[in-house]
Amino acid sequence: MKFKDYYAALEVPRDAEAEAIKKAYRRLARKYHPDVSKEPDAEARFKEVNEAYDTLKDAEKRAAYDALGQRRPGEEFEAPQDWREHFASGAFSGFEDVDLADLLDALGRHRGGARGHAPRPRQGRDYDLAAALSLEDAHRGTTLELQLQRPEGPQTLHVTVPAGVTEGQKLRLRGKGAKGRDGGADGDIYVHLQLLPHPRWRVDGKDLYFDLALAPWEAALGAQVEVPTLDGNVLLTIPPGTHSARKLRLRGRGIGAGTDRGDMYGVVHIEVPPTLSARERELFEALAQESRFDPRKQHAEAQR
Amino acid sequence: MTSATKHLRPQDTTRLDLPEFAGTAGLPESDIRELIDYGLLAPQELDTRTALVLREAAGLKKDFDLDLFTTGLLAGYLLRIESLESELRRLRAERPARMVHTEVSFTSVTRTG
Repeated sequence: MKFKDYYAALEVPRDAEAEAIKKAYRRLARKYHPDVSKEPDAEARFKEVNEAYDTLKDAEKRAAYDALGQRRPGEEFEAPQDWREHFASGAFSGFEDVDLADLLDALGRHRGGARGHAPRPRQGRDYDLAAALSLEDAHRGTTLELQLQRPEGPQTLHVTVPAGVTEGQKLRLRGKGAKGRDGGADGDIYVHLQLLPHPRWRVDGKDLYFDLALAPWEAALGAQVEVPTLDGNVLLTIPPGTHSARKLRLRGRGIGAGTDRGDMYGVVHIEVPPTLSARERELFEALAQESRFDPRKQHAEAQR
Repeated sequence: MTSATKHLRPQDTTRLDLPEFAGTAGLPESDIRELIDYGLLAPQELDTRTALVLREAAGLKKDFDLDLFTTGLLAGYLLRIESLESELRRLRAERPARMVHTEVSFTSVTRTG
């Protein structure tokens, strides 16, 4: 069995008070937490400080660890004979297969049994996996191939994602996490789904949004324009008098299937030609002369 | 693998019973009762949405050795962040992707009489 220096992992002296150990742990956990750390070996360091703290925060486990004496990290050592006797009839089939953390963890659990109580059932830990998928896959459903690092080795999971999943949705695979101990249930796997950004559509739940550019005359007179959807192009009818920022809904053209399907919205913005031909200028000037339309007055009235 | 799969939607406000809520939140039922006693969790809030947020807080509890009261407070703030993020997503979706800012000249208007 290889020795691990838990005090060095937490960067505290061997005689550190419990409060100093807790403080050191929180500082290092913050530094190496996989969600926030940019350190290259953050995940491994986080596990290391976690394991160290799990032992040193518990007075009895710490005392058992201290009794091993100070050794070089990685040094091979023989577990004390009384530990072997304690665990000979325990959960471990092969004593040589266990590591220091398992042993100290089992020691903590054995303590309960030694006081005349059955060891408390311990549920296996859950695993969290993140999976990014395209909008098209979220809409139609897909099968993800995910890699999971288990203590016993890497595992490939094939997870079926149904049609119509949304950003932030989680798939809970019951009983597929770490094995429970002492009669505890097995943990679960949580797959956290994230949608990749799409060049055409913006997503809100099951609804999709896109910018619908219209020429001024299309907006004023109405038109039919071809727009893409997840199921192919459609001909969209623009009502006459469509103003900028109006949302045109294509019912049932969002994400998902059946009655649970979202909608698609075209958000209108009116584009003007960046340069005008002589004829275009002539026509716009004629319109400006003729029209009594005052958009600012109309806007002010709408706000009243 | 799929037979035991459960779909958890962050917006789902369907009520859960205590064992199901605690299981989803990753906390023992006694902790959930304690959070209710603290007033940090209302019995009518035992739904999937709250359970998922509480699960995130429970992960931080474990990672940083936080106490339960702090975890409950944290969950409240995470729920608020989740609501704001959801609102932000909606507003971003509705906002045109192309916004052009141009500096323009102007002159003051003086009205007489």
